[in-house]
Amino acid sequence: MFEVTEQVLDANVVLRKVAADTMGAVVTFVGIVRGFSEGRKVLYLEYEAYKEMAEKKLAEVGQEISRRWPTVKVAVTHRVGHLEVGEAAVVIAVAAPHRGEAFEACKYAIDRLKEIVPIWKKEVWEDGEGWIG
Amino acid sequence: MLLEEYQVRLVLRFFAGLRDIAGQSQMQLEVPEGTTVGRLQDLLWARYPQTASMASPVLIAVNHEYANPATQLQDGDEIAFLPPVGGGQHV
Repeated sequence: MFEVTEQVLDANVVLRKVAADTMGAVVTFVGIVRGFSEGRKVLYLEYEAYKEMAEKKLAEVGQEISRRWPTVKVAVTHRVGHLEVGEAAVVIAVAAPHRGEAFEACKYAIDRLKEIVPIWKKEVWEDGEGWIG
Repeated sequence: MLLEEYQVRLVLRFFAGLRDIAGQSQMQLEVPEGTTVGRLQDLLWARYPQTASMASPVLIAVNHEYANPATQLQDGDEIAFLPPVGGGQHV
């Protein structure tokens, strides 16, 4: 349910992990590589993870969500390596019996991911490059 | 130095901008028993002065869990030096 991969992401694959006949709503969040960053044109990104810890911390985010929203089911897949502009870097799928919890838990998941999951990106611009948290 | 003083063998891992600074992603290091995370960081920062240019504090993980400076290191520990996540620092 919580994975770091070098493979191209497919949101439907992540969605299918949480879908069930008890779940009336699935909210998916897809994080996409932007073509511009602070006014600079981005050529591509390099994502890097501390894979063992990142998967553990993603699972922790899932546990936090289960405590706050016991009926919710969540799956997260984060891609690493070379990503082109427009490609998906992360997919989060949250299923719940009703939409309210699904939206709330999905926002919580991406916010917590950004806080505690050790994954970084290097932006490569036309005139240089730099690591972004 | 007596060999017995260096009983704690560590694997250090560096990520993202810190890997660029260290010039390697992984190294092994032996430190005296009782060495803490904070002391290890002091040792490494002295070795890599460029780390002073990091805009935000570095996080340190011991065996895949965030650690604080007082954590005592044990033989076989994997210590990871992690630039802040979700931040916006440029190295």
